[in-house]
Amino acid sequence: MSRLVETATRRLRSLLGRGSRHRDRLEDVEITIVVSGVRGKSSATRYLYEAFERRGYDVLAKITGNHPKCLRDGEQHPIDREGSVTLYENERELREHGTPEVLILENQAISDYTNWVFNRYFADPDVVLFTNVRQDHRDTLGRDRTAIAQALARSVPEGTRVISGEQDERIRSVLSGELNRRNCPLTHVSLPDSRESIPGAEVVYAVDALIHRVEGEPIGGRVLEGYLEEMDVEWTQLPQGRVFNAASVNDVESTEAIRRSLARQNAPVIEPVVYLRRDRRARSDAFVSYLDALAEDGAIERAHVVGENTDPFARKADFPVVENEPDADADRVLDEALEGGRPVVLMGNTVAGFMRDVETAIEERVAARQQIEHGPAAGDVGSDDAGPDPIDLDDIDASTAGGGSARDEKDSSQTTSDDVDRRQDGDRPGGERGIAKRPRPAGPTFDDTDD
Amino acid sequence: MLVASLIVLLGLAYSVVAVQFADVRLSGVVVVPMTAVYVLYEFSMFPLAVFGVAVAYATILALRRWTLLFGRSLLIAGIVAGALVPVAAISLLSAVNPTGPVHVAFVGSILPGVAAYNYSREDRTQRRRDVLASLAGIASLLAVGYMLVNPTTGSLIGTNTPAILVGEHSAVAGARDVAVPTYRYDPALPHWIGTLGLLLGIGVTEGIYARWGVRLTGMAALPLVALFTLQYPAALATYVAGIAIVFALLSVVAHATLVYGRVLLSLGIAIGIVLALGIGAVGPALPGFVLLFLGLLTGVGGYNVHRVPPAERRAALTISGAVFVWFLAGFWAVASNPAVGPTIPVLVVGGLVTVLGLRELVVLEESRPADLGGLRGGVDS
Repeated sequence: MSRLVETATRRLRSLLGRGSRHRDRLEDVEITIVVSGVRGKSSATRYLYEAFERRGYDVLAKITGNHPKCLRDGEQHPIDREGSVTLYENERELREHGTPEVLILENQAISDYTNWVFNRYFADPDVVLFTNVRQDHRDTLGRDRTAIAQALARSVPEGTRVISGEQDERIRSVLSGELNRRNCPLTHVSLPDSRESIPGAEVVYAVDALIHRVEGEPIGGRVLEGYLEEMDVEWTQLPQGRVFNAASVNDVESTEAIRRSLARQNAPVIEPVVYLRRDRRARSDAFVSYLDALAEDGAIERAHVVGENTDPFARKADFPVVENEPDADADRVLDEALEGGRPVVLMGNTVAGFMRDVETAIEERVAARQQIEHGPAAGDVGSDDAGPDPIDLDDIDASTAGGGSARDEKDSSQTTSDDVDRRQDGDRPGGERGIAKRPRPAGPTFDDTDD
Repeated sequence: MLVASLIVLLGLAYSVVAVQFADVRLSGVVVVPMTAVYVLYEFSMFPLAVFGVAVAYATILALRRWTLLFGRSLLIAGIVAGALVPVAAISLLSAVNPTGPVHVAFVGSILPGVAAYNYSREDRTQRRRDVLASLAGIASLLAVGYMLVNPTTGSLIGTNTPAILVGEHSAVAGARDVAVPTYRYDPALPHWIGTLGLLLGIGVTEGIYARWGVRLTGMAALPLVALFTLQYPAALATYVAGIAIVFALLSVVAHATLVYGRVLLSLGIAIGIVLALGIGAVGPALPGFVLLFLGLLTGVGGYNVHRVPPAERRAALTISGAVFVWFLAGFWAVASNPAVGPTIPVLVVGGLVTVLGLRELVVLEESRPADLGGLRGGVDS
């Protein structure tokens, strides 16, 4: 009994001191960066980790998602998760890995409250990077992009520097308004015209802007180009036609960015195949509105839906819908989608047996095509060397125009150009809150590595 | 209310342990303990609660099958559907027994919907575990309650605080041959108006959150506190002071331990219940159930204030105040014999609170983006 009391007392004491110990560890970190937003957070975290590590910093990065892990000293350390995922793992991982010079945390929270708790108690960031604002987790984060932008911005602690990759001016104005009320200096990163068609390019440029601001030099060069290449998309050519699997991006804005990019590759009208999940109702709702808009623009004529609960989707849609059961034969659905001659885009959800079957079916068809064209030792999977020349798609793509003619960092209207200079004039030696520029450590520099 | 409070505290501890160590969410933090208290007070509440959950669950399933509603829309639909059962049944009961658990309906009526919504979000295996753990929790608390209510405890603790479960109107007290005299709850309004007000309160709270992203102090709290205040003006002071204390303590706990979410909410409710007990022991005369509910609402309110980011807290509090005043005025207009009248000080303070709340709403409305019509379905127009 006394041992039980002793253990309970020890645990209680440990619990009571957990907050102050965690804050002490965070205090010892030179720069804490939180990667927030909706899409591309894991990629952004990895890019930041690579950039700082390449410059000789001691960096700890925590990536969440399907394969949560910590990155430290060039090694990956998987995060053990049992039961529900909680924010406490952030405290545990920092405790176990020790305090780094640069801490990069992917914000794993999916509600307005947990976003705020994460920033306030578990991260206390010096800089927050918003990758973008898109419609995901609408049931917990906000019903539309405005509400999501509001929730993300309101989670940022007072005075924290924010760098945002969001490109939509209307969403930018929401972010600016909310962050201005918190005295958070905000930098909107704009894409060069030539990169606007690359889905996810905003993530790469936001990372680049953050590195530039913190370290004084951007990533630039071949590394930046490599990241952009990772983001770029192209059709997969099958014997029966073209296909692209965009299901892994989940949200409609990212799907639309991919569709626009693919549309430039001679595909003004596509045949969507949407996989629906019962537990992702908000996503189903978003996709039906999205496809309604595409149908209105003439970018689709009908859609195929597969999965659970397709009835309400079909009822709500203003376009013809071909419904399929969750256990539908992937080859049959693919054939039906391709038979109209339009390129097929898979979208919606990716975690499902049907989607894995479709992936397999596509791989087999690609292999068969290569065998027919080149024999067994065929070239790259997924290349579209037989694709037709691009055509001008201004009729459906006119709204994508805009943005600066060169890559620029545009501070929000609420922030002044002084924000940039405050880095040298702030309270802390060397810069504003949390962007204390430290002497570059000895070791390989970015340019050394890159060149 | 000592026994009822103890049951609630034990139930909260059970929910914390269940979620921390067994990953079982018990259909919501307060569902298990409050259901146990209701059932001990009035045995017929058990089949009503089960039936209410079933109706709410069936409604949510039907909506999921036939529509693409999601999130809080489904929750509200579940609450409304689940509330119809106990409210209708308690209307019947109150006609037969006017001193019975009429007021229980006001809070109890939202629990079936909350439980059903939480169940509907889980997969089959998890839901089964959750339902079994909830029933086990309710059964255990009923057993504890049954043992604690007896003539000895009735004579020892019955008059220390306003009686609930050892009181003369309680079913378990009747079964255990205990009958401590207690305050009688005489509602100033027909209970259906109170329930309508509660559902309207949920609508207003959710509407404000949906449009401006500001959480008020509780989903159903403001009409309930207005209802209590109408008869017991001390209820308002209890609620306001309780929220301030719970918020302060939760902030300290979160800072020291990093605890958040359900555990913090449970702790907030526990603090609220303990505060209510203290007021019951030494404070103004309030019926036991009113105090217990005030403790509960205070805990939830303090937690809700804590979860609002600092920059939005002033707006959350002033708008909550204004909504409370609107409900108080609305209820007063139809009440038969309210304890609060439209005196000059009440009108001045109420008017001031309304103006402050409206001013915050105007500021929030002005800061909303003017034109988002182009964001149709993720495709730029």
